[in-house]
Amino acid sequence: MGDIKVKDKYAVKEGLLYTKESEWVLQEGDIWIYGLSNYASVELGELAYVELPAVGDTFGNEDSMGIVEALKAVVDFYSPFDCEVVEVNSDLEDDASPITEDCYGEGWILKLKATGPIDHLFNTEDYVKLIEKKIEEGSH
Amino acid sequence: MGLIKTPMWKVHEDAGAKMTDFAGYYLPVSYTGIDLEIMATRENVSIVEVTDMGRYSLKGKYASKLLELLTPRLIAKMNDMKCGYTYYLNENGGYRDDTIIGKKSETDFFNVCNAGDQTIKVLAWIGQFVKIFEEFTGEPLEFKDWTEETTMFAVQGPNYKVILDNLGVPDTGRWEMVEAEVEGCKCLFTGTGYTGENGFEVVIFDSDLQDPSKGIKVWNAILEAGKDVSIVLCGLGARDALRIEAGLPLYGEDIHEEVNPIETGYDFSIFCKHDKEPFYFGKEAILKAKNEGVKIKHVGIKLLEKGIPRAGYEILNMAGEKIGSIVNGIRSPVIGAGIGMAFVPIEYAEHGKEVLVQIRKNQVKAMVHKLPFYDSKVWGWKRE
Repeated sequence: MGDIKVKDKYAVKEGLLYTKESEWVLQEGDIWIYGLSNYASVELGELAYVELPAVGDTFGNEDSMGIVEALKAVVDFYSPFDCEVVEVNSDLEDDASPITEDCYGEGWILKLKATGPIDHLFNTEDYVKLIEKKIEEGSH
Repeated sequence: MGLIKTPMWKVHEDAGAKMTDFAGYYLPVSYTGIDLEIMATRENVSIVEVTDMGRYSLKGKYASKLLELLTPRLIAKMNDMKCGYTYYLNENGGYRDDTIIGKKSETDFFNVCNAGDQTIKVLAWIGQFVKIFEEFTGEPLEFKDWTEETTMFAVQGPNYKVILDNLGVPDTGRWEMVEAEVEGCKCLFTGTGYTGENGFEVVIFDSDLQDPSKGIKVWNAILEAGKDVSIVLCGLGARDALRIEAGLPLYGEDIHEEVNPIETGYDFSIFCKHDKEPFYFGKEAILKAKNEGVKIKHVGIKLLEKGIPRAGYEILNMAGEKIGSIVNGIRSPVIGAGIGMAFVPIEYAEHGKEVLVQIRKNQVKAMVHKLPFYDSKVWGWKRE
């Protein structure tokens, strides 16, 4: 699986599914690995802290699951679908930098069990279109 | 987007800056990283564009007298070619603005005020008195807004002097003014800044959004002169953090129309002698606040646990009662903690006082802290 570069700046990893809030998920068996896309992490800039949910927490689709605190902003991250948290990347609580440096690898945030439909997620191609549109709207 | 562009916007974009809406201006929030830019300014030297600040000159026989009427500072006592900090107050003793007076001579001033709407407000206010003074004295007073005809940079950090040396410009020291040409461009250098470090600010004339070539020339000359020490490009994220670490006030947050200098503690009574001048706007209110005491005080807040205090977060006493709220805050790489500023009731304004800051669901332990936040023997222009 390779990366697609959008506007020479944002890497979108192929083979993942994405949310409109720029989170990614990857299915491994019946578990979904979850993190922030490169577009989200680049736009946030330098991160200070993350607040993670606990293992066993359950969320409805698009519920706030936790918080990423950047130097210039605080943002929620949202559930990609109805889910239960089965594992958290607690290393991020001491050092959030992997989210910036390796958002599709070491910077994974949660592992989830889906408890509802997932068909609203974007494939790579549609997600690339989505962020191209966002960049277009935000440009000067 | 309706954002105001500065003369250097394209230079910032081309240098890979992360651009943002900064109080209505299209300016870089950072180039390489906020923490890195903060540390470069504290330990080395950095450059940041500050063209958004307001610039105005006042020339004439009674220029000094007018400024004495408008500020609590004894302007006549300032030396020629020297800058000084002061503020314009309203009748209630609140801040209309704070300003750097640049005194070339008793009859010739080049001053800097706050950006955007503040520039418009303050210059309109001063303008009324210019007219009255001219009428009463029969002497002309030339009052000019230079904001849109000039470009301005701040070069800050302990290695600033290397750059002046390489440019062939005399040292601006603390608060000195130096008129000099760089690559044929007319410049005004001042030993001023907003970081707590030594450094200079430079105004480049005849350089605007339509033709920024002189600003770009001087910017490049400074970068070239700073090559020996690897000068760092700095954005406004770091600039805001640097001034909070140094405990310096921002208009609209730490100082504004509704608070007076006794409440903020930014009264600078060494050179703003409130009782010495026969009249200045706000005098009565200031003296009253001094004599009767104030109920609130502006303080530094340092978190003792993980987190960043941000504007609007509530401050609680140890019993959990709300006593104030944060006006601004950052995570400081120098202090190694979240720090910010706030107004609290006077009984909580003592350094070392323990308080709580409500960050989302958590009550985070914090303390009232002296300003500047850092140890002045280790950081800032007084360092040993």
